[in-house]
Amino acid sequence: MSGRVFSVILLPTSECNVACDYCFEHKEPHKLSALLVPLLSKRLLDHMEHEGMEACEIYWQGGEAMIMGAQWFLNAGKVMDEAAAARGKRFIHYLQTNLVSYSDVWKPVIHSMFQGSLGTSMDYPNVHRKLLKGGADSYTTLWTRRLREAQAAGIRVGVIAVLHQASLEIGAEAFYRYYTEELGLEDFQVNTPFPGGPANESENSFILDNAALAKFLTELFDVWMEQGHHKGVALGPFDALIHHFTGETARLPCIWKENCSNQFISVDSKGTVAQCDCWVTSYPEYFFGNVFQEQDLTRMLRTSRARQEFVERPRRLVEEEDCLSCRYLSICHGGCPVRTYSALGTMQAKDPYCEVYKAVFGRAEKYGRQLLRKRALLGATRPVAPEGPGGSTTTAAPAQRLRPEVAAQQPVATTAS
Amino acid sequence: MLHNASTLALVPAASLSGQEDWPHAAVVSRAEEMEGVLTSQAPALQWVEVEGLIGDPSVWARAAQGRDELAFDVVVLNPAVEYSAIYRLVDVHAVRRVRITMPASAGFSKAVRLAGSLGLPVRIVPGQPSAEVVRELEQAADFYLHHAMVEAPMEPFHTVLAMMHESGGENSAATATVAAGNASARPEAGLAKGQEGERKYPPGALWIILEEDPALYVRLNAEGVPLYPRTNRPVEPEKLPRLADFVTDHMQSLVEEGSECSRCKWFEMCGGYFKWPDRDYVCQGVGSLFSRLHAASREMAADLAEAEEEAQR
Ligand code: SF4
Ligand code: SF4
Ligand code: SF4
Ligand code: SF4
Repeated sequence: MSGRVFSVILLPTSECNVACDYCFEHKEPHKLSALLVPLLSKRLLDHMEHEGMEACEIYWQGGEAMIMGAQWFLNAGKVMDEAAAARGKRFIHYLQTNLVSYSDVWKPVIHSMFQGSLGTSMDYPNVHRKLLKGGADSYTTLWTRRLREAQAAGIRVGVIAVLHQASLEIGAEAFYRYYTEELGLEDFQVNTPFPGGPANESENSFILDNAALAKFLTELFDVWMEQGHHKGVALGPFDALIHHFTGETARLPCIWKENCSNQFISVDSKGTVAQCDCWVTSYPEYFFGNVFQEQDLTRMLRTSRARQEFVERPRRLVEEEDCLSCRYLSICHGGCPVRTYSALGTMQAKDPYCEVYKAVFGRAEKYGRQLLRKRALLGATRPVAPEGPGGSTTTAAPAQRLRPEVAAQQPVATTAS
Repeated sequence: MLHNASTLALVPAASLSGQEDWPHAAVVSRAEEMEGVLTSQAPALQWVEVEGLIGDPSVWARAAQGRDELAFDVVVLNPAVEYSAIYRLVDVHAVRRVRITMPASAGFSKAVRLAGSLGLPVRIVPGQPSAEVVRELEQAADFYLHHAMVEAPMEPFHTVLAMMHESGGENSAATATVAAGNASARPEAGLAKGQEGERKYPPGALWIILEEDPALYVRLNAEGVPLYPRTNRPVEPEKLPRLADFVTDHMQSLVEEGSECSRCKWFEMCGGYFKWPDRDYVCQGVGSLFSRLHAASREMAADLAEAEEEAQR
């Protein structure tokens, strides 16, 4: 019993101050009005109350979230947190930003509202993230400067890297070294890309060959295990997989949740509700409703036909695909609906990255076994978790689930920001 | 007779007042009954058995609200058809303990796979399995034994293996002596440590593992009359005083009539479980299932010994 986690990916604007080739946002000039923040808070809190949930994770992102301004965030955070406290509940805020407009004015906001950490994105090599004026190189230079400034201000920065063809070409070793040595990071994660949203010219360059992607990721896994794992470098999602395969509680990315619809919703600046940022920015046919127009979020989520498709997806996959006989069902459940939808035009199929995932899971399982064996030799016991109404009638070891020290983790949900 | 500290009564939810102070589990079979049990103040309510409602999302949405100590045993009556609906329990499992119980009917192993993959404990009720279902039980046991991802206990395999591992599992004497032990003891008592090679479980432990020994688990009908295990047949009034000795009496009668049980090396553990309610059931396949589990327990012991040796080196 881990308790239910409720996470809202909140897009206060879809505007952005840069121009990435693969961006799937409709960059409409629209911002969430501060006047609507109390209503938004009320809707979320009503839902939490109805579902008996104590806390809600808010992942602020965009577009580019920092466009809203530091003061706007301070005010919004205060309004939300006071509303939550008045009802005995809690919002936990996380920030995902492209960092290019970071300056010292953000320091107090990030320390007070975001627990001193933020998430950002940078690919390697960077060929697709570009400034509005200036290309990818200028973007990299500016972003790196902002990263250093944020780090110097005592902010912990987690970086998401979206893989693309040039990453595969440069190879896992160089890729790993860039993040750990050149940027000096101890916490980053890799994301698989998908051609979300309206078609654009560079879409094709984001369709990667599965075999090449699997090779890259398994090699990266090897490099990390050899060079970083024992030194405490967190490389998502590999670190979560290692937790999983060593019997520890793992906070897996949304693409491998039993059902992402159990945990996430996304709300945009106009109040549109959808499964996650990818859906709310790209696929109107899958909107669940509008949180400002409908009074009852719980009811919206229960009755939305679009959401039903998400809810029922894993069920349908074990009936219609080969996931039930898959060794890794317990960790994958058919993968990500949006990756499937954007590639196949339906979400009722298994994730097109299936073979890539299997390769990565296989690697994680191998390393997990090795670690368990090592721990067994050092005298640690494997956690066993007997549960059930009647309890267990065995003399087996009592339940001991190891709790992970869960750092703020971004849902691996997006190529945006 | 029934309302004592060592017996748990499984009672239809509709027959409960919510004030019961004797150990019981509420059996819910209609969606309307769910609200009552979730808000029950009954101090001795141990868990809720939900039967035949796996396909009703509204039941599970309600059960997933809030965090609660009250555990659920979800009975999937037709596992070959309803298996995929187990996904509906993911949210419930996040807020309370949930176990899946299913009959071993043809095709049940799909539900085993899914429940195991979702980290849900499972109880498979073998009943009197056909040859085809025995094969499926063997596959389910293999899945439980060899699938690295399955950690939650899967009964009866989990406890049978542990017992075999602890005490060897075969009968402790050539002919089973039913009188040994105390069949009405709670499982914990029967599992007390014994001498090397001694049996460390009560006779007929399988009945207890599967929660079918009326000494410990008695199912009542709507009128409050106990039912014989795995049947809807009420216990006759004159038989009630010996209901707590049901398993020992059953074992004794099997020995007396020279049933194959009296020659079976798993008799002490099994207690003639498979000879009920049809005493003519032929156990050939079941014996090989026990043998398979026994072999697995030996492998486990050897692996452990090897690991210990390696650790000492
Ligand atoms: S790895 Fe592939 S087959 Fe296995 S559960 Fe995931 S999508 Fe299904
Ligand atoms: S990225 Fe995929 S798995 Fe994650 S919330 Fe969106 S649709 Fe679900
Ligand atoms: S991907 Fe993010 S940072 Fe890049 S243009 Fe789109 S919204 Fe802006
Ligand atoms: S013969 Fe069958 S019922 Fe009798 S003890 Fe052996 S396995 Fe059990």
